[in-house]
Amino acid sequence: MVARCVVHLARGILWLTFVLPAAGQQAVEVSKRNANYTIQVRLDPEAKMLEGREVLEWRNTTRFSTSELWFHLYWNAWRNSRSTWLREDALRAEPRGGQLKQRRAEDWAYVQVEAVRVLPSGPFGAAELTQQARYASPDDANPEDRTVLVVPLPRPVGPEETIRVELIWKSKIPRTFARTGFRGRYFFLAHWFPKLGVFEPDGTWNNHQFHAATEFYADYGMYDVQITVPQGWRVGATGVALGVTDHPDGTSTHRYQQADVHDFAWTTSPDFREARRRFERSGLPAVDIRLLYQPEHAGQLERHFRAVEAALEHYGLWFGPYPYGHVTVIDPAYDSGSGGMEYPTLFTCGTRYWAPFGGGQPEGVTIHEAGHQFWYGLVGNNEFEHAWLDEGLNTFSEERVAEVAYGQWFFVRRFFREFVPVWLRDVRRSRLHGMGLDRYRAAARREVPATPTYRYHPETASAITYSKTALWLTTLERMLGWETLQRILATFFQRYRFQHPKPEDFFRTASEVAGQDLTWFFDQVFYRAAVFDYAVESVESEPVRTLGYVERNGNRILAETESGREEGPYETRVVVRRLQDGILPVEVLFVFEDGERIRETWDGRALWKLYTFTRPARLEYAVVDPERKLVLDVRYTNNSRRLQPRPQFVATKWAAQWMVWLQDFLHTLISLF
Amino acid sequence: MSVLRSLWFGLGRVLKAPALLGWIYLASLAVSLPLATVVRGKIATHVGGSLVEQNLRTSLDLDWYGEFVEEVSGVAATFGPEVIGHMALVANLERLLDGELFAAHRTLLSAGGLFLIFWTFLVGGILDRFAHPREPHSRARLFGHSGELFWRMFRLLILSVLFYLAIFRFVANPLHDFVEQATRDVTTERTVLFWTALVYLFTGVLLAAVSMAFDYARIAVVVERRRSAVLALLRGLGFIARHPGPTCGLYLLLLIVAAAVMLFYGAIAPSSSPSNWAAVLGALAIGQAYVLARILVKLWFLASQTVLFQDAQGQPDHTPTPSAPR
Ligand SMILES: [Zn+2]
Repeated sequence: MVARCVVHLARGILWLTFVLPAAGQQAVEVSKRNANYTIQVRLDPEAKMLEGREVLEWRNTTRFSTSELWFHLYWNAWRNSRSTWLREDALRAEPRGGQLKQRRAEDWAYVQVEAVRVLPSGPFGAAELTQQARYASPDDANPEDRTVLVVPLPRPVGPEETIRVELIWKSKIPRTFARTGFRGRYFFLAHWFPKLGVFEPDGTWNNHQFHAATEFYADYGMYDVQITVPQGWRVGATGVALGVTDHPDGTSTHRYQQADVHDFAWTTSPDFREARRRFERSGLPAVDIRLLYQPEHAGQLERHFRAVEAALEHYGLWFGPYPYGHVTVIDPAYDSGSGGMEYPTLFTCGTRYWAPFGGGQPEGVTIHEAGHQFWYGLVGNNEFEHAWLDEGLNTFSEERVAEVAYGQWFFVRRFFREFVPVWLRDVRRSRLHGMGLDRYRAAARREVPATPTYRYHPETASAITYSKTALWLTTLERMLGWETLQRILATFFQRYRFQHPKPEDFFRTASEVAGQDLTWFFDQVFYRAAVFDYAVESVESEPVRTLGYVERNGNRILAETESGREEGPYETRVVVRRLQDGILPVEVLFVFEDGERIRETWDGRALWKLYTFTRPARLEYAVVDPERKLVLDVRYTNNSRRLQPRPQFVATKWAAQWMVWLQDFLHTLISLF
Repeated sequence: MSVLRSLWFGLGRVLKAPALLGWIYLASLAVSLPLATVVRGKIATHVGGSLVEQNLRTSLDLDWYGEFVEEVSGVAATFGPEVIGHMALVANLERLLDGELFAAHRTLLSAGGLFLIFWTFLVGGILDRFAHPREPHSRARLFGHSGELFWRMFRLLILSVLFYLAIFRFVANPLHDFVEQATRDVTTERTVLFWTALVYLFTGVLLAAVSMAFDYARIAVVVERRRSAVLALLRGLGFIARHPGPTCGLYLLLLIVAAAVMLFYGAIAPSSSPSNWAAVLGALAIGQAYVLARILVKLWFLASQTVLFQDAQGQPDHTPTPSAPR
């Protein structure tokens, strides 16, 4: 009874939160809510099993009818090594699945749909469909892959019709392959229920298999989920907790609800501790932050909250407010493989027992995953096909927030099986470094970004999806100015909230807001795997001299030999080069010894260009792209050249450091002998 | 026979033979200076006339480093943030305890191998010097004895390498794997950290034990003119078994001294800040002082253990070798 009262009270609060805008808050703009789930799920922590029943209520929002429903059965990706996910994962130098041979029976996973039936409602009569359901592999025709289930319907679902389908399933929880799984009594459950794909406006199902590098795409809706776990275990989940009901068998059912989201994830463990904080900033709606943390990280609470607040504040002010009023932050169990992942109104961060403040973690990952509430959660692009729209935009935003809120991180390396961090306070990581410039450089030619993401090579996918996008957004920021880019992102955010934008939507918005056609830019960075490398090839400054004939007093005479003359004026010749196929206009700066500066703009099209100046002083140096706007330039060292090179000092300085290290190595070696 | 007496007289014998320090230092310089010159050349070539030079004056520009390390090959590819200041020490210590001193870059392998051969050559002469401090010594005698004892020392070297490999292959790595498997359901990092640290500690103890046994084996070769590496090792082990307290106590004290030297240097090691020639030279001088201190400690190990060995044999430190003139 007590529990029931709690449920009623909590329901009331939920209604107030979602239907009545709180004082000073903006009304919540709602999604189409056409894929709504009511789910009951029970965890058996000993057998590592889930048993679930869901009722899906789906409204066809297109102009077309469909006589099928397509579902994701994600966990079959880890049913055996022949799934598409594991085949692709094996392409990675260090597969996320780890050494498959070492996996025991309890470490694998599967999901088995035991019943599918249409429930009577509207024009639909009850129908049993379990036997008709079949697996499909639309992406690679892999007959061993069972991550897509197609359910033929006895009667098509017409435009604006709503069908109710019940699914009953059982699934085995894996020892984590990717984010989902268990470690001891810690469970993190994502992609855990049969989930409907997206019926596109063109009348086709977009329901990809589970791939190693991409995973999300679904319609928005209302989730009402009852989760049964052992009594005393804490639960964190998408949405708002409506209450807990205890059962005589030693279990408790936790109920969570959330509207206007496109996924639902949850976690449970008896070891979680809980802390709360209310985020309040003028101009933004308040957000209740609930942090479920590991007891050994009690000393890092403040750092977690500060990072979440930094994200909510800056993303909120730059792009648009976070409307849900609550967010659950999960600090995952040690080495559980579930860190750093986003789900609606819930995300996982990840820290270490020893994590020096200033080294970038857990702050970076916390900002990133909190940021996904905006890019992924609210703007729901098809991540299977255009992961850059969430990961790239979010990586850019994360690094910018981190820089504004914390400055630059210092360099940290972890030693002794990564338990012991050692850091160098005076070696700083630039924003470009944080975005993964090095990763991008190594993978620059590996992928055309416009390729659907699920077809990216898993080893280099993140270098293109995350790094390249964040880098070219930085270029846009430096070309157009932050104010313009911020308006582009804010317009895109507000226009496509609760929708499924495509790359062209972003490009169109960008050109429109910038007030200039940026197609040429996106052609370079998105539709081609062009590589950028501009360089100053040579610099020369010599006293002006003429050899050969000159006209003087109407006579043609041989010019005087002026060899040995060292005073001015000087003729300066600079050759700049385009070393790769990427073309972007760049500025070239010439600085002379007397302080004179000349700035030229080069369209960057020809393979090289000669600049010649006659000036009273010699050139000191020349730089292509002096403000480093084109951050995709894979070699910036060659962008500048002095007339008088002087690398000796730094070379000696660093070689001396290196030598002491080598001597230490030698003496460490002989300490054994 | 006492640990403190051995330490004291050991230090005395080291300080009376500064030439040994000099030879070892010169050898380490002879191996590392040419390679450092190569690294210097590669950095200078890569930086060239670029303005990135300004950033590299005050700190390691990681954006530049990313370009450098991708383009450079050979020994210069080992340059990176881990060579800076205290991180260099930790990186090498990690290599030691993970058994990866020889799994490093090919050039390091050759440099390390060369230096090890030199050390193996000289160690006979060094121990002869420490065992007979009162006898007249000359460069000729140092190298003479070194040459005479080289093959015996070399056989001990091979034997000890086999022992070290066995420690990593059959003990340390399996133990780390075991900890990983045994803690696969542990959700607190502290617990895993504790067991991992214990494995490291155990590995360290095993390494120290083998190194100590071979130290006494080498001493036995010199003091007792033993020829067989195996018998010398048995002699070393027997000696430790008969005098566990003093041998281990002495080793531990010297280990503490070595750790203190490393910690002190780690604390004052210049990071990436030197931005003028004076500061660079100062940093280099501090680095070289540290290298000298490490050689001193290494010699102190050998000298003190020699004193302990001779004391236990009832051989006072002035006992001459039978053949040497009085
Ligand atoms: Zn992300």
